Amino acid sequence: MSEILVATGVRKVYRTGAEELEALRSVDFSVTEGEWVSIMGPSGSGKTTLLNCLSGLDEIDGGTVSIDGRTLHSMTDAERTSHRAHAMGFIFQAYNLIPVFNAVENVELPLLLAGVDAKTARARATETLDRVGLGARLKNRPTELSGGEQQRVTVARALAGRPKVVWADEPTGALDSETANVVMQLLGELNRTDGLTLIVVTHDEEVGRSAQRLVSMRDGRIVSDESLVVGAS
Amino acid sequence: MIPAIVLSLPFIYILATKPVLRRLAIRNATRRPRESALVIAGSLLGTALMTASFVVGDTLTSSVTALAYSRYGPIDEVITVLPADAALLQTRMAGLSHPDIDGSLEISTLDVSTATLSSNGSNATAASAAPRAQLLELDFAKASVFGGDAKATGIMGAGPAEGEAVVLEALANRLHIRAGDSFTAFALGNQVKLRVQRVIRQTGLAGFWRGREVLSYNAFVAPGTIRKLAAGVDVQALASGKVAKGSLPLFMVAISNRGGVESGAAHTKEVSAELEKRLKGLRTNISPVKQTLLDAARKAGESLQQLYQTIGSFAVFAGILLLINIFTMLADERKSELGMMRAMGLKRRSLVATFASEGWLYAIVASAIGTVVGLGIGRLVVEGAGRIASSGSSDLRTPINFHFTPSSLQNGFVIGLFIAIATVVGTSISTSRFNIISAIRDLERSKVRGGKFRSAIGSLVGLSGLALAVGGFAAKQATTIMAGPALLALGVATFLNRKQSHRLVLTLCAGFAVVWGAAGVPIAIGVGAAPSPTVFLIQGLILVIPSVMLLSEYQNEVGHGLARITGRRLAMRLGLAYPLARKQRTALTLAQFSIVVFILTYISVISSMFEGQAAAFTKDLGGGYNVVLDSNPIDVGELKATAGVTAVAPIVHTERASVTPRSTKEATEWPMAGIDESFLNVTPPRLTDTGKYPTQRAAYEALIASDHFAIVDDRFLSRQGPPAAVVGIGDKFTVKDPTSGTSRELTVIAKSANDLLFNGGWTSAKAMRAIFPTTALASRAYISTTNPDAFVAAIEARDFRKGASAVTISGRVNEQLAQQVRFFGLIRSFLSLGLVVGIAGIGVIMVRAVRERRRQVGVLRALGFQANSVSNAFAIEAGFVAAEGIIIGVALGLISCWTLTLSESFGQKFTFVVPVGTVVLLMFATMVGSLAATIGPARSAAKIKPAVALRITD
Ligand SMILES: Nc1ncnc2c1ncn2[C@@H]1O[C@H](COP(=O)(O)OP(=O)(O)OP(=O)(O)O)[C@@H](O)[C@H]1O
Ligand SMILES: [Mg+2]
Repeated sequence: MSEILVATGVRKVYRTGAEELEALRSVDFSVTEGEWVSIMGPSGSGKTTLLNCLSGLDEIDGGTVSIDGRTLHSMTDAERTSHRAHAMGFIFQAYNLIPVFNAVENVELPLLLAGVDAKTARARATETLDRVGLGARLKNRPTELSGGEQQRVTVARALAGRPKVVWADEPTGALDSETANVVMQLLGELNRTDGLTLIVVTHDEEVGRSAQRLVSMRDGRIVSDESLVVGAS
Repeated sequence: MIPAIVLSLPFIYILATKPVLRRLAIRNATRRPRESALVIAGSLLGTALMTASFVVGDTLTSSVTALAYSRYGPIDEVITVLPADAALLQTRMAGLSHPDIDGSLEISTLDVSTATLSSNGSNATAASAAPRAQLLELDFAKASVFGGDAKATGIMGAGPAEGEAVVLEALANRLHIRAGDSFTAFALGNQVKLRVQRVIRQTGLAGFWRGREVLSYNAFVAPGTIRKLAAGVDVQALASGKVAKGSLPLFMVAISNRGGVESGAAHTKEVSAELEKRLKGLRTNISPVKQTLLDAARKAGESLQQLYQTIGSFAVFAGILLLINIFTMLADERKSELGMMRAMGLKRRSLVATFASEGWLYAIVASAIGTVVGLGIGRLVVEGAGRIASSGSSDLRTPINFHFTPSSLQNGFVIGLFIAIATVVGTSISTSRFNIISAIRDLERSKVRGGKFRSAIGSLVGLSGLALAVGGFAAKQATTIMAGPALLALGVATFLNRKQSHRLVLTLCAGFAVVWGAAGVPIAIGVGAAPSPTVFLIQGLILVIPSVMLLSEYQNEVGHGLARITGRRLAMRLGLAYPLARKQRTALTLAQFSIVVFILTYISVISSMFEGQAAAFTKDLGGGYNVVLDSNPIDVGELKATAGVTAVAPIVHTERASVTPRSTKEATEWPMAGIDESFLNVTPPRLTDTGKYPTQRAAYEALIASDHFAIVDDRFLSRQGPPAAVVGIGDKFTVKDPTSGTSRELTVIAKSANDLLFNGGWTSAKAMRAIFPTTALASRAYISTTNPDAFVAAIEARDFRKGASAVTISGRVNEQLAQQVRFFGLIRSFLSLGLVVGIAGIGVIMVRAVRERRRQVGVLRALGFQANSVSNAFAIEAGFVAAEGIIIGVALGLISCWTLTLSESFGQKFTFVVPVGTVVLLMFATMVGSLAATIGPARSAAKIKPAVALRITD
């Protein structure tokens, strides 16, 4: 399969006043389409930074990132934004739903952003929520949902637009292990059936090991990159 | 200062004794200096507007008080008699000695008209004329040391010699004369030519003048000059009802109390008592001129200050809402932090204390800055008022000089501090309660308790509302008539809220309140209650608050309707989602906006209604007459023979009757006018209330036939401030002749339109002659003529010897309306401050909103939301709230002005006029302003970097 993402020599430096912190030190990294990659590593090692830089949420200080053959950081912000709307999904740690929208409105948001008409968007959002087991809670606002339910809405939101790539930063960090399992199984299933490319940052060994490939980071560098037996856990 | 310290003590105590709370409060206040600055800006408004109104009041007081120096100086009391009684008075005053009196001075005066003649001979014409002037005779040597302070008397040097005059600036300017020039004085059919010895400034004794003009048209002449002019006037004949050829010479003794120009007035009571004892039985009047002027100055200042304060309250109210909004947002933002503190064992009371102490820090800084800002605003208002003053006839307007007292600054500071602290403490308590409920999760129990509490409060409020309404109608008290039913509605709503369907109850009660807000004022006026500015403040609140509540209740419907119209654009949806979800906050912002827009619309409409009223006012005021002529005296036959004149009604007029209402027992100097049957030869001026008489004519006929009836307007005896009927139909007041001491009680039988022509109270000529046996004289006439403007010019040129001075009624009305409109304009600019606050408030709220939602914006951006859509969403949000506020404000403003036109208000029947241009401009400017205030926050929201925002944890 073709490579959906190629990053070479990516550098990221955080500047706070006179201090500089090199969070990514020349990272080379590529992902093939339909791959499920876990990124693990100690706190502060640069996992979130990597995810932000590779997805185009953040600027980089060196190197190149190309997605689908397009060089990400030479696009304008608007182009990148629109690219995100069409081709990417994001799952962050809990609490990142829009509180004034109910579940289905949150989920249809990326669809509307991608230009899908309102009716189709609503239908697809409902369907996706159904799929994550929240078919009965469409009209609830985030504050009326439990933490696990909120995270499932987030998953639904990331998936509803049928993106090629889903970026997840500690998607199960705020969940108990049972709910975490449900969420990860959902993602795994989509990866298998729809060929979704999944890049997941996690501290959870079990979550990390359910991927096909495990990348470890330390001090802004990738220190190991191993293939895992599919469905090892 | 003491109240400020008392207010601050609890906070100082907390900050001093609780190190943890102190650290928390100070850290929070200094953590985000820019936002703290915004909070302070929001809180300083109350102080600024309060201080400004005090300063405006001070300025007026001191401007009027300045007259004490420019026209009285050492004179505290004046004793007046006719020349015939001069010798009697002199005997009684001989050997006057009293510890509180430091001098007395004899002055003779005569009202004259003056002119410079273009040629000699009897058919000379006037080059320039001053129809209202005064000749004075006094001993310059004695006068210069009168009261012991030569500077305060304004008189020094040698007195005028025979045929000479020492002339005051105002008269010299009016006649275009300098030292060495000549002019002629006319009185009682005689004339005397005078050479100007020198021109002096209007100070103290030199400026002695009792007319309503601010300038003194005085000429000091050599002893004997007045007697020469008055030669041939038979005072005894006057007493028998024969009309004199002009007003008579007067003999006065001026008394100076111990002390300075102002401080001397403190002894007025003792000195008056002493003088009364001494002059018992004499036909005379003792007039405490200084004290009267100082009282008037104080009252004028106070009433203007109250007017500004009341009107400013609209803006202050908006400021309070803004403050509540900002503080609620602050509390929301810190909710997790505060929750944590609670979890660690911080008591709720301590929580309130920390939050309130932080607020106190803001409030104290804000009040200090606000005082200075208020001083500046006051300065601007005074500047504007000065412009208005200089636009009218300069004679009648007090020159404005900016002035403020330390106590005014203190008062502004304290009131502002109190408002800010009360708001902050209230908000702190309510937010901390909210936190605790959600934290401890005893929602059920507290709801039940709240329910009972609610019902109790509801019944209490409702019943007191009912009591107020009933009492208000009984006492014809407009404020309570307005407030009562509104409170009743509030009480019912509160009481029923938990029992019946919330929406229905709210809709009915709030709907009722809005209707009452619109209809209450005309109803109150209809039952005879006089509306004060406070009534309009209450009306504003009654209209705006329930309207906002209603709109909030139906906000979802509004939002969905709007979304349907505009299509489901995402930025639109997002922009509407927040205001719809945060109803309480939105309501606060809405109320803050609409109250200011309401009052601005209201004032604009009222102002244009006044403007459009010129023709109607002229008709009401003049009836079939179109010119008012003052002439000393009026010669009816001669006037009737003048070309173009179709009717002449002579009026026995005096400018200085001493009028005492039975109710207040306070004597006020006020004009009185007596009419006879000839007044009814053409349509007389309109009466706004004919009392028990079936027609206007019947009321006038009753007045003329009797000698103890009167007709007055709403401004009778209250020149300053808003019209406040001192006497109503059926009330009695006494009119006394200050010279002879004769008096009579009159009963008010009808009400006239506003007295823009300074007629004073109307009574019959008969009554005037009875009260003023020696001085009653037809010195004014209502005239109907085919060409008013030509007549005015011609008569002033022809009758300058009689001091003829005429105005067309339409001219006077236009002049008065123009001033009125300019005053409204000034008030409007004062209030625009409230609008600035509203607009700045939206900016502040959006800044906070952006801060609050940074993480959400990050998520949206990550999901593919474009940067400009983010800023659009914020602009739409602000625009939506602003538009709703503007619509409510304008609609309510228009409605309540319209209801005013349904009945007679302010003594006039108005026609409803909408100044479309002004209102559209107001709406447009407010909208543009609000959007402009959002640009900053919207831009900064667009700049939020998703990668950064997503890391935010709070
Ligand atoms: N905005 C910033 N400014 C300065 N330094 C930053 C910033 N964001 C992250 N860092 C630093 O960059 C390094 C990498 O951070 P990053 O968030 O990528 O770590 P991480 O591996 O995701 O850690 P964790 O597992 O704790 O989430 C850390 O040392 C962090 O302190
Ligand atoms: Mg991380």
